[in-house]
Amino acid sequence: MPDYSTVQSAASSSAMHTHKHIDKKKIIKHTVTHFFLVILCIIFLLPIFYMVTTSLMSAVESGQGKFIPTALHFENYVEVLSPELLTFFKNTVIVVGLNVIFIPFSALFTAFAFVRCKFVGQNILFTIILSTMMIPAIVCQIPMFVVYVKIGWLNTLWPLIVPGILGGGAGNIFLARQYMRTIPSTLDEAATIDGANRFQVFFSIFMPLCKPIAMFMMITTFTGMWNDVVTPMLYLRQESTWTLALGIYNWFTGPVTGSSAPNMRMAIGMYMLVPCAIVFFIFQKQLIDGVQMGAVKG
Amino acid sequence: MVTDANEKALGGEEPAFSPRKAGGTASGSDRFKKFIKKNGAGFIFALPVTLGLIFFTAYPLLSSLYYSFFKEYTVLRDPEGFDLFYNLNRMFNDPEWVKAVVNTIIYTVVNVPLTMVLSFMLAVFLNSKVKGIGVYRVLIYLPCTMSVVVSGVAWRLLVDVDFGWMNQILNAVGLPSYSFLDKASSSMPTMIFVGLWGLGGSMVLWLSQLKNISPELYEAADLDGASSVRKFFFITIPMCTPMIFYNLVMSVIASFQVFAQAATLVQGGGKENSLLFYVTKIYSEYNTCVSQGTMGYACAMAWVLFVIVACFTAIIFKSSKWVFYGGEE
Repeated sequence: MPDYSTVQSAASSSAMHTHKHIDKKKIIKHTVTHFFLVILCIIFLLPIFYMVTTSLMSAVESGQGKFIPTALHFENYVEVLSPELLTFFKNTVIVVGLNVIFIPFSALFTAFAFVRCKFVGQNILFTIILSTMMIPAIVCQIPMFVVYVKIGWLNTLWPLIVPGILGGGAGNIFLARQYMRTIPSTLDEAATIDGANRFQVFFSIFMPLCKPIAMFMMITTFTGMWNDVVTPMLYLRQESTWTLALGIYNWFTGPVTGSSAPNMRMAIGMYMLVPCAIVFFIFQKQLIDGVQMGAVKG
Repeated sequence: MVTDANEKALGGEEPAFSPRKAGGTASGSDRFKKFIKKNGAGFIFALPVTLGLIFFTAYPLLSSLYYSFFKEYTVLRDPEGFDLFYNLNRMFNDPEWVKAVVNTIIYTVVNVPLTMVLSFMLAVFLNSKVKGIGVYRVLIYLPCTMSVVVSGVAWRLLVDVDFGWMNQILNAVGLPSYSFLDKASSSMPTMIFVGLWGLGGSMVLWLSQLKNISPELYEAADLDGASSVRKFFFITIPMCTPMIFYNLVMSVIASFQVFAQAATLVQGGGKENSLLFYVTKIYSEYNTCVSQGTMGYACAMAWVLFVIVACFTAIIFKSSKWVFYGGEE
C-alpha cells in the first residue's frame, strides 16, 4: 500500500517537528491495535488450527480433544488416501477444471452481447438475467432432477458442468459487463473501421483486456465449485461419481458418523482446504481487486 | 456516465430494429438481411445464455409450478391428482413446515443484522493504518476459503459437549460448559455463532467500499473540527449505504435459503428440529419423493419460498431511498 505509507511518514515527520508526545501516543495506539488484531486472528484461525493439529494426532488423542499432539502422525495423510478418495479427487478435478475454463469464458462472451452489440430485446434479456439471481436455487433444482433422470444424466457429472457453460451465471455476467463498460470505445472503434467483425473484436481485443476480471471469475469459480456440496448432493447418488465435498459430507455427516476418528476426518478435510487456501494466498490481490471492481458499482 | 456515451457511440447510430427505415423500397428478404446484419452478432453472443435461461431456469421454474398443483408425483410416473390448493393446505397443516418457517425467519432476523454490523465493525477496524494490516486481513479472511462441509465436520467436533475444544476453552477461563448442539435451545445460537467465522467474506466487501470514500471528505471535516465519531456517522456510514443495500439484499436472499451450514452441523433438523430450515424441509421431502410421491409438495414449498423471497426483495428495493449513490446519475 504505497499511498498509505507516504501519508504515515509525512505524518510522523511533522509530528517529530512539533510534539514528541504525539509520537509516543501513536506508538501506544499502534501497540493496542496490534494486540487486538493478533487476538482476532487467533480466534479466526481457531478452526484451521484445530484441523491441522488434530489431523496429526493418533486416533485416541484426537478423540479426547487434545490441543497439541504428543507425537506427529504424518502417516495419517497417507492412510486416508483410499481408492474411493482418489476417485472423489478425480471427479472434483474434472468438474472444477472444466468450470474454471468455461464459466469465465461464457460470462465474458455473454457480457459482450450487452456491451458492444445491439439487438432486439437486449434490455429485456439483461433484466431477466439479473432477476434470476433472486430465484431460490431449490425451485429449479427439483424439476431438473426429473429432467436429468429422463435424459440419463443422473449419477453423471454433466449436471455440474453444462449449466455453467451456458451463460456462466448471472453474477458473473453482471461483473463482466461492468468491467467491459470501462474499456474505452476508441480501442475497438478503430478495428471496426478496419473491417473487423464483432467476433474478431471480442477475441482479439476484449478477451486480452478482460484478463483481470477473468482471473477473478476463475478464482471464485474454483473455490465455489471445489467447495460446493449441494448440487452434487442432488444429482450424484452413486459413490463412484461423488466429488470430494460430497464424499466428506456423506461419510462424516451422514447417519453413521463416528465411523472414523477425528484425526482421519481432519486429514481428509485438510486435502479439501489446502488447495483453496493456496489459491487464495497466491491470488488474494486479484480477488480483492475483483471484489472492488464488481460489488462497489453494483 | 461515460459508459453510456460509449454504448451510443458504438452500438450503431440507428436503433437496432427500425422497420420504418428498412421498409418502403426494400423487399422482404432485403429487410431480413438488414435485420440480421444489425442484430446477428448480438444474437450469437446472447445465444448461450438464452439457451441456459430456457433450459435451466425458465423450464424448471414453470414445470415446478405445474408439479406443485399435483397431489402425487414420484418422478417415475406422471403426476396424479390435480388440485390447486391441496399442497398449500398441506403446508399450513404440516407442523414441520411451520417450524421450518419460524426457524428460518428467526435465523434471518438475527443473523443478517448481526453479521452485517460485526463485519462492518471488523472492516472499519481492519481499515486502520498500521503496519502489516494486509497480513491480518488475509488471516481473518482465511476461514472463508473453508468448504462448508469441512467447517461443518470440524465444528461438530469443536463444539462436542464432552471433548470439544470450545468447552475446554470455556472451562479454562472459568466459565461453565455450554450445551451447543446437544440441546434444542442452544442449537440456533450455536449455528449463528459458528457462522461468524465467515465474517471475512462481507468484510472484504466493506473494505472495498471504505477505500472508495474520497479522503477529501474527511479532510474537509477535519478542517471543520469534526470529531472522529461525527465523521463516522456523517461520512463513513452515508458513503457506505450502497454497500449496505447490496449486502442486505444478498444476505436476506441467502439467509432464506440457508441449508448447507445446518446440514453439515446436524443430522436432519437437529435436536427437536431446532435447526430445521425451509430448504432443509424441502430437501427432506425431495429425498423421499420416489417412495412417498411428495415431489409436488416439495415443488409447492419451493415456489412459496420463491414468492416470499421476491416479496422481501421488492420491499427492500422499494424502501431504498436512504441509499446514496454519490454524484452519478
